[in-house]
Amino acid sequence: MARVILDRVRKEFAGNPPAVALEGLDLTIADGELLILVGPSGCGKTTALRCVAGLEHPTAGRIVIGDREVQDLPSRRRDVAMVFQNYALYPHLTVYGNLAFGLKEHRVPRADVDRRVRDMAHTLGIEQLLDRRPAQLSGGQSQRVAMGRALVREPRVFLLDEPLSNLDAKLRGQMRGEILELQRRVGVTALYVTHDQAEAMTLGDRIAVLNGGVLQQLGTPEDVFRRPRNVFVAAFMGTPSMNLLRGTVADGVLTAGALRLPVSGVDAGEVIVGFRPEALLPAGDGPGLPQIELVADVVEELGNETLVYGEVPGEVAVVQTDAKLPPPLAGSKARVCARFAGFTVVRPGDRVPLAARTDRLHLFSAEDGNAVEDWAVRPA
Amino acid sequence: MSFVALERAEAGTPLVAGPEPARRRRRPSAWHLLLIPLAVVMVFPFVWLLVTSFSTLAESRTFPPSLPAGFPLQWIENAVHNYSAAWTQAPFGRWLLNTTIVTSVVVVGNLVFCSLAGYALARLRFFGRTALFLVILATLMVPFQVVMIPVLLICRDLGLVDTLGALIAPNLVTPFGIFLLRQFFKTLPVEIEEAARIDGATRLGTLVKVLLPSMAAPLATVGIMTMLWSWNDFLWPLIAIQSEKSMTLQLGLSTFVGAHETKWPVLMAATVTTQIPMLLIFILAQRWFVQSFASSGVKG
Repeated sequence: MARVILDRVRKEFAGNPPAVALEGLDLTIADGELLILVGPSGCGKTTALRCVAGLEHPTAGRIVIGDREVQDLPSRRRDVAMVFQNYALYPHLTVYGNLAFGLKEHRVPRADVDRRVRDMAHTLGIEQLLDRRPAQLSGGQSQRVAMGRALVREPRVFLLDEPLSNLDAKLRGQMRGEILELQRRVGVTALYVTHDQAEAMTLGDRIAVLNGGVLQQLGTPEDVFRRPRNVFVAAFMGTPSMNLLRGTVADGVLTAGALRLPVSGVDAGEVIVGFRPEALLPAGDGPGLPQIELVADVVEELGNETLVYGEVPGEVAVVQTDAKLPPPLAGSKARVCARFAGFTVVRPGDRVPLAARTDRLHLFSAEDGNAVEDWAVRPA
Repeated sequence: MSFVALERAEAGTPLVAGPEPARRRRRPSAWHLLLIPLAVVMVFPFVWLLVTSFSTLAESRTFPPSLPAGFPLQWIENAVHNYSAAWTQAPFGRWLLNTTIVTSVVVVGNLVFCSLAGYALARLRFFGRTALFLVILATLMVPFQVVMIPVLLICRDLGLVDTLGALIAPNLVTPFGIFLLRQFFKTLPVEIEEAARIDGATRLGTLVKVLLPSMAAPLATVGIMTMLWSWNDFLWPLIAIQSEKSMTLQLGLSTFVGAHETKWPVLMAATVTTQIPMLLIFILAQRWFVQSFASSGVKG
C-alpha cells in the first residue's frame, strides 16, 4: 500500500508539432484511496495511468510511489498491477497460469504461489475456471480473471484502465459494486480511468476531471457535481448535462433569456448561467422563483423520471465536452432539459411553465469559463 | 458479494450430451473430375521412383516404364540389393548425419534469430526501423544465384569452405522468416506484452514466456519451411562443399550419377532413403503443417 504522487507530469508524443497529452499534471492519491480519472476521449487520462504503470515515460515531472521516485524505473520494478480494457489475459495459459504468472516472475516460492492463486480464485468465485483458457471465458469471467491476476500479487498500486467498458450494461453495474468492495477489502491504492460518469460518481473517493491534458477539478463526487469549478466540468459531469445559457450582469441584475434575477457579488459583464435538469421545477411547485417557459419538443419517458427537452428564450453556451461530438448546427435554438417525476404527462409542442431553483444555479465567467465564487441571489 | 451466483448464471447449465454426430461423408462432386487426374500427375513421379528402386538395372532402362517382374520375391531381392548398394557404395550414414546436423542447426537458428529480429521490427522503436525492414524485404527479391559467389567469397575468407559451417552460417537467419514473424508479432495485442512487463517480466522474458507461446502456428511455418528447404538444398552445398566427408544427402545423391553410366535403381533407392525422414516428419506433424499454412497464408 502506498501513496502516489504525480508532480508536474508532462507527456509529449513525438510529431510535428508534438502532441501534448499531459500538461503539468499534479495529483496526490492517498494510501488506500480509489481515485477516478475521468474525461472525454483523448483527454490524457489513459496516458497518466500508463505513466504511473511505467508503460510511458513522462517528458518531464516526477512520479512517486510510496517514498520512491519511479519515473525512471521499468514497470516490473514499480510494484504496480494493471487491469486492461481488453483484459489482456495470456492466451496460451490457463486461468491458473494467468494468475500465477506474476508471482512466478517475482520468484515467489511454489507452495505460496499455489496458495495465493487458490485464495484469490476463491475470493473472486472463479475456482471452477482455473483450468480453462481465456478463449473459453465469457466477458464477465475474463474481467474477473484480469482483476485476480492484478490483485494476487498484492501490488502497492492498482491501476484500472476502463475495465468495465467491454461489458454489457447490467454486468457493468454488478462489476462496479464488486470492484469497489474488493478494493475496500484489500485496501489497495487504486487509480481508475473511465469516461463513464456513472462509474466515476459511484466508485471514487475522489474524482479528477481531465480535459486536454489539464486537470480541471479534483474533488469528491459531490464537489465535482455540485460545485463544478469551471464550465467544462459542469457540462461534462451529469447526464443529461447541465443546461448552460449565455447571460449578462448589469446593475446587479442577471439576465439570461427570460430569466431575470437580482444578484450580488458578480461583476458586470457577460456570464454563463448553469442549471441542471433537476433544478427546474413545474411552476406550481416553486412559487416566488424565477419563471421560464419551455416549449417541449422531445419527451423521454424513462419510468422513474421524465426528461423533457425543449426551447427556451435565450442563447445556449456551447461547451465542447468531447472532440468526437459534432458541434451543434448553426442557428440552433436554446434547448434545455428538465427532469420531472416519472410519467409526467408532457407532449411535444406543449408550453411548460417552469420555476428555476435559485439555490441550484451556477455562474461562470464567459471569458475563461471559471466558476464565479461567492455570488448570491439578492432578495428582490 | 455474489460472485458465485453470477458465475453460475454466466456459465449456464451444460447441455445434455447427445449421440455423436455421424462422420460426415463427402459425396463425389464435379471437383473430383479435376482433382483425381491432378493427384495422379502429382503422385506418378513418386511411384516411379519407388518402383525403380525395386527393379534391376536392365528393367529400369525399359521405355515406356513397366513394372519389374517377379512380384513380390524378385522385388524384395532387387530392393535388398539396391538399398544395400546405396548404403555401401557411398558414405551414406555420414551424409545423413551431416544433413541432420545442418538442418537442425539452421532450423533452430531461424526460429531464434527470426523471432528476435521480427519482434524488434514489430515492437521496438528505433531509428531507421522502417528502412531496415524494407531493406530486409528487398533481399527477398534478390535471386540466390546473384549472391552465391559473394557469399562463397565471404565463407572462403572465414575459412568455412568445405565445412558444415559453410552450409550453416549463411542460412541461420532468413528474410522470409523475419518477415513472416514480424507480421505475426504485429497481430498480437500490445496489451498482452504490457501486462507481462507489469507482471514482472523483462523484455526477453515477455518474448519467450508470453509472445512466442502464442505464436505456435507461425513458428511451425518457419520451422517447417526452413527444414524442407535446408534438407533439400542442392545448389549451395554443390558450391561450398568439395570433399565427400562434408557432403549432404542431396549432394551425395549426385555422386551416383556417373559420367558414362548411372545405376538408376541404386540412385532411386538412395533418393527414397533421403526422403524417408521428411516423410516421417510430415506424417507426425501433419496437423501442424496444414494449420500453419492455413493460418499464415503461405503457399506450400
